[in-house]
Amino acid sequence: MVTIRISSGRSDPLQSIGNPMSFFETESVPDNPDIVLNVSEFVPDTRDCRIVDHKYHVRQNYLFCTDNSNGRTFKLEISGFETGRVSIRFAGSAWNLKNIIAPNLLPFDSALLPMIQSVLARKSMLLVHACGICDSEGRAHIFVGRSGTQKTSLAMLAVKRGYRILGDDRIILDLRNRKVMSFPIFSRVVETVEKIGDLSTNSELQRIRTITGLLFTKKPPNVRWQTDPCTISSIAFLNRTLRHSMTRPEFQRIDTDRAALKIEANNRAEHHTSYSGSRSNYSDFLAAYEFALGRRYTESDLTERRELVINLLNLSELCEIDLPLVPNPEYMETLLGWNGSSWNTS
Amino acid sequence: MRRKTTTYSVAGLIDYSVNDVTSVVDKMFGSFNDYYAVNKIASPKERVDVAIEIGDFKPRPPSDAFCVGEGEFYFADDYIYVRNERYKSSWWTLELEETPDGPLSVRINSNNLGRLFIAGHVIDFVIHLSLLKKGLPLIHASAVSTGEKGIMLSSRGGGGKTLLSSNLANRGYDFLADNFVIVQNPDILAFPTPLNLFTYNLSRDLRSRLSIPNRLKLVKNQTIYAATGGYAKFFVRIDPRDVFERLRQRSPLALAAQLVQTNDEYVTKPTMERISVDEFAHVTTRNQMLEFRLFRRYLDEYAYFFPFSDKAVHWDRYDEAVRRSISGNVKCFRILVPQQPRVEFFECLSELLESEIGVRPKENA
Repeated sequence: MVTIRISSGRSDPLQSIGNPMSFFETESVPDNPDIVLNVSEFVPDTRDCRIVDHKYHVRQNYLFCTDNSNGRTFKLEISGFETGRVSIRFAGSAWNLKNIIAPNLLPFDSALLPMIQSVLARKSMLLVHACGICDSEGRAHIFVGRSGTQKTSLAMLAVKRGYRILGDDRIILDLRNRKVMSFPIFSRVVETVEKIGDLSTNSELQRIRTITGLLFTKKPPNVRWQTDPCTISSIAFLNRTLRHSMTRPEFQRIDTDRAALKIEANNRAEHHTSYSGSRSNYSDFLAAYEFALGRRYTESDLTERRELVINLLNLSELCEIDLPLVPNPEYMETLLGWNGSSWNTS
Repeated sequence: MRRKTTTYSVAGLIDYSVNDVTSVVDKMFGSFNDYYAVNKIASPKERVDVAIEIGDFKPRPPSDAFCVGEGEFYFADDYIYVRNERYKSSWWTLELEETPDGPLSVRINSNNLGRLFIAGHVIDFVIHLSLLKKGLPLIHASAVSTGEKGIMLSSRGGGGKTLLSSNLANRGYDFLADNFVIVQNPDILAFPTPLNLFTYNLSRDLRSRLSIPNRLKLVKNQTIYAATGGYAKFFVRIDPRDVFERLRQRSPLALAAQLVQTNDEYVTKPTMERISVDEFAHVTTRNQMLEFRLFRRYLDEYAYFFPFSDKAVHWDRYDEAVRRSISGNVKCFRILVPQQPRVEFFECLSELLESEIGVRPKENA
């Protein structure tokens, strides 16, 4: 659907391990990729640009930025921002553990992933921050939630129960065909984490175990990725509450308007976060672009698509689920256990 | 640690109190009093719109609050808690709680360096939020006036609003504000914060009006800026009352402009592109989103839990407030400003602005 060519100026011996895009690698070299990413030193073409906040350089269909992320300076250039082929150039380096394992993390977060989302959107595909699993009858169950709602643990449990996985963090909603497709980023990480186990504590020790597992595990993964599109059976919106004493998760059916707004809000909130741990500037790029040029880039994106999103949502069961503060295995089973008809609605 | 509450008023529209319970040593790092001194009112009010407390606190989220991450944020109806915000080497934690009959309660704790940023990143936003509740947009702009005709100059950092407004003040205009202006159709009102001066927005005339200690501060800050490779950028805060003779609180609005910096070297003369009120509102909203980028994130997170709330559509409401507040006879422009504008550029621009509003300022007394 979207072809991407990535070239790097450095040789990355650990390339495939921490590579978020490892699942998507193909042997064939695309003639006309939708997105081209070059990670190496470059000189930006900033002619005729308007400058915002001393760091964003924008003109029609182009943006360049030089910035600091976690004490690390980088340069990022995106051509084809609104139309045409997307060409991303990135330069910058850092010396922390995450960036040795996954050196392309920063360009991935700040440019590649948002541009993939953008290019998909041009084709009426919505890249959504959610976890998707697929049951034996080919029906997908999607779980949308902010960070901390245990989506990844849920995906791991689903693997044990025999489900196929569309993605533990991102999935694609095909708005025209009203189906969901997989988008497994960090597939190697997910597979390793599944073997290592429990992710409920986001501790340094856990991170080290994950990385060690990545480097040394050789057994084939248990995770089975669902690569064909599926119909969507249910979409659940997870809310983690501060309540300690909840005997079981609380379900509540919701309507398509509320669900559509929550999907949008989740995606917008996700633009501020990044895998590399620092804050992402992407929302600021968009605001700077619109400010300097007076263009309505983001609005035209979302509002047109809302109709299509609602059409797709009409096909599935929708609910909101409140979860207790402390995760426990029983409620995960409950989340997996329902299939639209066997829910306990409150 | 003594309790000391100071009350301020923003143009008589929003009253807020600041209760700073940190130590004397902490206060040396940054006193909110300096920043908001121009707005201080002598007698404390019974009821304020916003009550701000600075110092250590324990969050008190409602029982039905939601949590994001491992406690990074708590959200409930009209309640926001941010556990740890980081900006350069500073951090702060904050809690915002709206009660139906009482003031908006804001509690903030920070490290010493954080005190420098709280005013701009938190308190200014809270004032913006309170004003919006009353349908009044706070605009990131400077403003001057002939008395009958006000000119509002909005921009992002480096766009030239300080340079231009001080140039105009020199030509005889009354000075309203340098950083923020409130629009209350058909007028603009000053929200006077200190001028934030750095070397790039300092005109010769303005420099000549500065006291010696302030000029030394400028040099000191410039040195620090260079020595840290641009990381540590400290502004010198100047009370506008110290540098401008004619100050004004309110004026009818005649012209509103967004100044945008361009790197086109050949821009020697200003271009004034006429834009609609709609477009002005649109770009002004983006300006505000960038100005309050940290809160923009909190609102985006909040919107997931409360998609039909006012906060979820905060920026749409702001856009609408700007549009409604600027009446049809106000001329709106986008003006491109070069990176290193010469004095002639601003002279020329001032003349263009004058011809647009059709009246010159009264001659200097």
